[in-house]
Amino acid sequence: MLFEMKNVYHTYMRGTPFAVDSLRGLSLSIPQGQTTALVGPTKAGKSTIVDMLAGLIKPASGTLLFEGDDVFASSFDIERIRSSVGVVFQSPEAQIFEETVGKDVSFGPRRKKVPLAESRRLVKESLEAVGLDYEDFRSRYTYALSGGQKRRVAIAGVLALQPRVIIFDEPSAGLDPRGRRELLELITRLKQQQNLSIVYVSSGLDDVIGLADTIYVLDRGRLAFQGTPREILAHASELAALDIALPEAAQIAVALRDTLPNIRTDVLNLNELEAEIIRVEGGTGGIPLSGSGVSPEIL
Amino acid sequence: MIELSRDITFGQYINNGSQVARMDPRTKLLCAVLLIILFSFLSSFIAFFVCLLFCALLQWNSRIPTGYVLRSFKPFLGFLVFIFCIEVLFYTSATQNKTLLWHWAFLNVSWEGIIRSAMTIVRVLFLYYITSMLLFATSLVDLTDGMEALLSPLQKIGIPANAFVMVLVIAFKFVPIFVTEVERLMKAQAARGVRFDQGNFIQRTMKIAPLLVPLFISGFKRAETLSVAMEARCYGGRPGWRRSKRRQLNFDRYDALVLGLTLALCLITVVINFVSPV
Repeated sequence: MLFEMKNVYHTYMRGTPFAVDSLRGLSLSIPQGQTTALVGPTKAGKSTIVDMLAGLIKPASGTLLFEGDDVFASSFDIERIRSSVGVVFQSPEAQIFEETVGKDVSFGPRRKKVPLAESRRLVKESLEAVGLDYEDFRSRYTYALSGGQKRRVAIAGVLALQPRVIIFDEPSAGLDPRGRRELLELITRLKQQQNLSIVYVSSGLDDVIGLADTIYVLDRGRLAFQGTPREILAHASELAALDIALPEAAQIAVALRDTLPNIRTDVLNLNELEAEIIRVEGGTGGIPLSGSGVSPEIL
Repeated sequence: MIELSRDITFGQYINNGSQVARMDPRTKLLCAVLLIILFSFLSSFIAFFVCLLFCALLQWNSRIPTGYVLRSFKPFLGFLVFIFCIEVLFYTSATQNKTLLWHWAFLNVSWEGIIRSAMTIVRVLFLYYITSMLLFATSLVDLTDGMEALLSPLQKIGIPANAFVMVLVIAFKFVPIFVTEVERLMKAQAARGVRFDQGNFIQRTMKIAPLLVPLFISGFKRAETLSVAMEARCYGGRPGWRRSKRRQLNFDRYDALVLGLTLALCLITVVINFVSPV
């Protein structure tokens, strides 16, 4: 296991009148080489987990194991986490702090005192891995980039550190549909090419259903349920109670429940939905849908 | 570990519905100003002891955890110790009538110096306490309303009191926002290999420097957005326009009691101060 959290509690502003419980006895494990998604509504404790996995904050109680070693034990070298875990934070503006793209992406390598030629190669490779032209972008000002570009630069800055794990904290928030699609494609490609483990944090299921191997659904600092994307979608009504948005296909399936009571909601995409409708309709004799004048092909 | 907001608690309103929190902001401000003047003026330890009793009463009535208030003094203590040392070492009295305890080159430690410096520290602590208490127990809206009401006579002689109050309030409001911002930037840098918890004092300070540029940029952006938002809601308006108030301030019996107590405290301590000036 890459990460293991055991019965972790965390409270922000502990000991003040503003104290907020963020994690309440959370246990979960994140395996190597896979994409793990953490999904939950606001206040579920997602960002706290991100900070904890990156070794930035310490749990009030409970343990966090990184490759089997206790992260917050005094003998643990936090550098181990910092050098193998990269974090793409919620808003890219907070992540980028240098004036030019080149300087920002090379920040990590420079910190690590990587030789100049090597650092330049890393920056070039990282920028190209996220689909930005090195010569064109390296001297551009970071404050003049578009939202999608900023996100790419932020990811490049993390890639330049050559991590083995990348944590994405709601990376698609605020992007337009195209930017979002491109980002998801980029993440899938990075995972395959660079053999990375990915932790993807999101408030909705839309992004992660096609991406994740395992999904953890969180609610108010606890684990609500976990499983593969298909297993998670089977919990459609519980997800609705948690205010977690379902992907398009599953949403349609849920809406069709009135007419087709036997329809399964664990459909990953529109093709599967179509097959499911045909299956259910065939089973019940096809009365409800064709009766209402809608043919399954249109759906 | 990076959790700044826990240590910086100055000026965050605690809405616990206590009597102190529900008081008329005008009374609170008036009392705070009186006490600030009083604390700056007093020079007798006995008088400060009486003030301490008053503060204890205030603390009890505000229902804010004492430990929490005391902890907000913490970031400040190193500074106080520094001030104390400097004051003691460079103390000079007008009469040159000092009991020297230690002497080296131009540095002196005298009994009078220690007493005078201790007084300064006590005074600063009281001033800090009363201002932070005012902010703990008063919401920003209340604070603005109170200040505007108290300063409105100035408007008549052409001083834009309302605008001053607004500037002040925005400045206060930005403190927690900036703290969160710094926290975010520090996290982003820490995640890319900066160790804020390592190195000596100078090395650590150097690590803070790169935070300043993005902090300023985001600060200016925020200010710009805010000014547009305010204009969009007709802030300022035209000369002659006056903002009406949805909530009326009212001065009730508890306010009268607190104001009375504060005045009594002023009177008593000033008398004590005259009787025994040290």
